[in-house]
Amino acid sequence: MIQTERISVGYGSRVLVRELDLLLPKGSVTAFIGSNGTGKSSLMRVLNGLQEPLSGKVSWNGKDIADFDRKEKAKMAASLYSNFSRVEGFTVAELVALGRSNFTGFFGKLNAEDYAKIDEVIETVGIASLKEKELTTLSDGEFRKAMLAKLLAQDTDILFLDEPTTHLDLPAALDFVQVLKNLALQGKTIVMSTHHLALAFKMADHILLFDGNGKAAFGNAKEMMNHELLCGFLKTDKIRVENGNLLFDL
Amino acid sequence: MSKAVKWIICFLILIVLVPASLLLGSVDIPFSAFFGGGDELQNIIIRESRIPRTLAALGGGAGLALGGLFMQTVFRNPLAGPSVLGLTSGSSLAVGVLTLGGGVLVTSQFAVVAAAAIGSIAVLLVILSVAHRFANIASVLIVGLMLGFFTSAMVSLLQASADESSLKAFVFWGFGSFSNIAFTQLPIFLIPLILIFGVSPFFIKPLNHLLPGELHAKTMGVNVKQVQLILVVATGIMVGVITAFCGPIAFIGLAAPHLARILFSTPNHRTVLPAALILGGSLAVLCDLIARLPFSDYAVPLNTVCAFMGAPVVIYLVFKGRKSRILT
Repeated sequence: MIQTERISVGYGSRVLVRELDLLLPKGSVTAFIGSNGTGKSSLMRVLNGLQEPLSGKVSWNGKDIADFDRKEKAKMAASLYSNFSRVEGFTVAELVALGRSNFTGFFGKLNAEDYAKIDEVIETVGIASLKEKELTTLSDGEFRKAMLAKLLAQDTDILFLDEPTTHLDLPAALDFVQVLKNLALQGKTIVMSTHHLALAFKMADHILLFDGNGKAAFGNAKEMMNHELLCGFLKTDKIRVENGNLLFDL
Repeated sequence: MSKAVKWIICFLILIVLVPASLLLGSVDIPFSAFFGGGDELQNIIIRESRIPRTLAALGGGAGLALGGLFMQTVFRNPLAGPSVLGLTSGSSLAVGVLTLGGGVLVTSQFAVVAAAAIGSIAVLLVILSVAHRFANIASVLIVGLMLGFFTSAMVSLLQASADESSLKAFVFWGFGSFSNIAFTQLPIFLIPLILIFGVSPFFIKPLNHLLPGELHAKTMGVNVKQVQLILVVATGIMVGVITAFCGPIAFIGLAAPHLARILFSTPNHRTVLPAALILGGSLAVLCDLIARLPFSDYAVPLNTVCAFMGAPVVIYLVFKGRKSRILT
């Protein structure tokens, strides 16, 4: 469970999100939606403890994240950011093994349990056949899944994913989102940012809309599927909602 | 080829090179001399020349390789090396001021060693004092490079106005050599290096997490700033000590980590770190062995040999060394 109390996010005098209260229950999927530069990634970094908020408090499972040390945070939450480099020479298995870091000793030696977990998560995301492939030989979709496997190897309650479906073709994006949905059903709390409106509404329990000027709207996916709300926050008049479906006027 | 075989090759190279370094030179020493079978002159050569020289090459090469590996990972730049932070240039400037500045030939070995150490540590302190102002470690790299250019320019100025004998002394120091260390000086040279080698395995995990990027390392619980600072300081100390005693030695720090990545086909520091130490030490012993031109009465500058050996390695990396790159 992730909770915020009157959290404000921004840089200096520029406030992107102002005094936001959130409650993201365990096993839920929350999608952050907004135009570029409206604060989606910044809020995600604040929720993940990688960036200080301007004000307010974030807690995980009822405990203020300021009270977690670095290692404890890495045991509670795993993150996927889009600027992760494909380390040349690393195989999928080696990448996923990085996720076991908090379970290994000083020198990072893996034991039988770690190897079993690595196999299990690679299987979960559906890339067992790619286990020994080098990262540089993977397609974007396969690489994202390998990254997700690394996150799962961390064995955390919370997953933060910053635009995980960017650059993926539709089948790969659907595939990826299906894996996330299954993970939420297993009790993982998932927070993701995306520009993929239709996918977000299909998979998320909660939607957080950003306007980039401090205003944000939060609610369950059903109540957030609202023409005025979406058009207002995304500054467009080309989105329509009919019978609970999203339509785009082009 | 299995990983075990590759390790055996690494150790075999070392096992062949070390005795060769001890035995070969302008005076050939029989193997039996190491077990009390040598005459007085041979014993003096072994104790005062061959053993310190071989240990200096082993330690110096390994230290430069480790420094190169640290810098390549910290700056996520395959062309980073120990000289990239301007540390060797700082040493050169300090030695240049000592030997060229006053127009007086300084003959004291200790004074040169002290000046080189002070020079590299001074540059390191400048870098550390500005490091916290930058959010991005790449900016620190640029500052280091610029400091290197600046100090090199100052050295050129000093050289232009120096008298012939001072210039000669400075140029000889700049050639680099593992033969400047006396047996009694070995502890001062080796202890800081061995301490850093001993602690380095504790940085295998953070180094691996730095490979995909700083943000990834942070999400894995790594105190990125602290780790970067420790690795930069450790590199500064190693380069300072090595440059102080052996002069500015090029290429080994750049090439050895790449050789380790190529040989073992992985950037994983669990393998690359010990391999770079062994290969760096071996490479330095090999360069030193070639530089002293065994079976002849002549010798060539160490840095000339390092460049002859190192440049093809770097060119090979550009054309073929796909696995050695740490960035996409």
